[in-house]
Amino acid sequence: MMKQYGHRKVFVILGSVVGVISGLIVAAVMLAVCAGDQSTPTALGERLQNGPLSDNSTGIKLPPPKSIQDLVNRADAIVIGTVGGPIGEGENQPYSPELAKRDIPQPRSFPFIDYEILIDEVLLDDGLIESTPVLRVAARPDTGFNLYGTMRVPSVGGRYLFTLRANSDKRAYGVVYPWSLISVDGATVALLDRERSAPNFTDKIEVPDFVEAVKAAVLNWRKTDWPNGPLNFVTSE
Amino acid sequence: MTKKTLRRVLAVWSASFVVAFLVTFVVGSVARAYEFSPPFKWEWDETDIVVEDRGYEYQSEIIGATVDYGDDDTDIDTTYSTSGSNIIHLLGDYEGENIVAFADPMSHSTPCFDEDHYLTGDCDTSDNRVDFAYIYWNTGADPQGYPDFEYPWTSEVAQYISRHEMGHVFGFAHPPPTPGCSVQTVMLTPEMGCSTFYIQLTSHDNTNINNKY
Repeated sequence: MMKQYGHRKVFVILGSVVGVISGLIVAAVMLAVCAGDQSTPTALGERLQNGPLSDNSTGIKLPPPKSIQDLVNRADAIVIGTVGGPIGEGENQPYSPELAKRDIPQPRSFPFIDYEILIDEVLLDDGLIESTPVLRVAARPDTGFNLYGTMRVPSVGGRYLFTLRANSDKRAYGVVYPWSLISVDGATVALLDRERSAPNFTDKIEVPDFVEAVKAAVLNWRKTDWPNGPLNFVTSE
Repeated sequence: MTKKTLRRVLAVWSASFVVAFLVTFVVGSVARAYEFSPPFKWEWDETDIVVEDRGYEYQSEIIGATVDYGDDDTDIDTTYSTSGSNIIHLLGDYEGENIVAFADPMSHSTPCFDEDHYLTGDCDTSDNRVDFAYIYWNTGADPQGYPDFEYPWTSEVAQYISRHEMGHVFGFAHPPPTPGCSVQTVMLTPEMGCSTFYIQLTSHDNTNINNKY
């Protein structure tokens, strides 16, 4: 009898030891797999083909809108129109004349391209868009992608719904994420690119339905609270 | 072995497996450092890493971040100066970019990231360690529904920005979506959907710095 109980105990102890060890091994393997999945250098050609899929950014970026209302609330002006030809290029540089005298790598400049917006219809008017229909995209002309790899540069002649924010100098409107520039050329709407964290409210929606939904959301423009705040900035755990 | 004993052993094995797996995976996920792949690190962690502010508007916050990284809780030494620096904070209006700030570390004058912020693979943990970096603060960032991140920033937001970007310079990346915002680190971003941000290095950050350096 004693011997039988002793055997059982040994089996139970062995079972738990083997269970713990196998659990540890499987978890360690999964952690290693997750670690390897983080951020891998990707060739430019591959990114142009597939878009950016992983976040290896050093940038503090903001998330996609959660709904059409959120998309509309983020805009100063919304128009439907066509992208005209580039009307200018330029570079933004940090103001740091003292650094130029030093023998150190110099700060980057940040190129941009200005496109004319040929407006068909204004859905949300900020009083500025019709006199300043300029879309500024941070990009180099040769890459096909905006500077931060988050969206393709717009196609000249392409028809889009533009959700625009005025730049601080009020001389152009900026876009950086695919949801700022939604293609309405086809039967269904399309984002310029599918980012890792792209919104899904544009999926498979027909253009007339989408435009009507945007118009309805414009009627409630910023009547709702921002869905994202308030944020907490804390000093410790 | 009887069927009853076998069942008991299997039950014990399964329970032990599940508990060990969950504890290891959850603790491992939350506690681990998230680095770039391939990883890189700073060249001279044992000597003073000089931090400079050429933006002029958030000097006290940048000094605070420098002290935080260089204090006794970490094995790296950082000091603030107005010249001869290794890490330079710059303020500029980069217009419609939704990126509030970003780091641009370099090794032997070669950037670790290209213009799209993709790793070039030119920085590593051996012969091509990071020895210089700019940190760009974008006054033209479009807050996109996050008024907290609209310039001018509060002191709290500036404390977060300065520590977060310096973390990138030292080789730390954003946590992945899982475990995401549950990681207590200055490396969280609003893009991850987080609503709480740490404005001082946490014990998680200090441990990871000391494991790396």
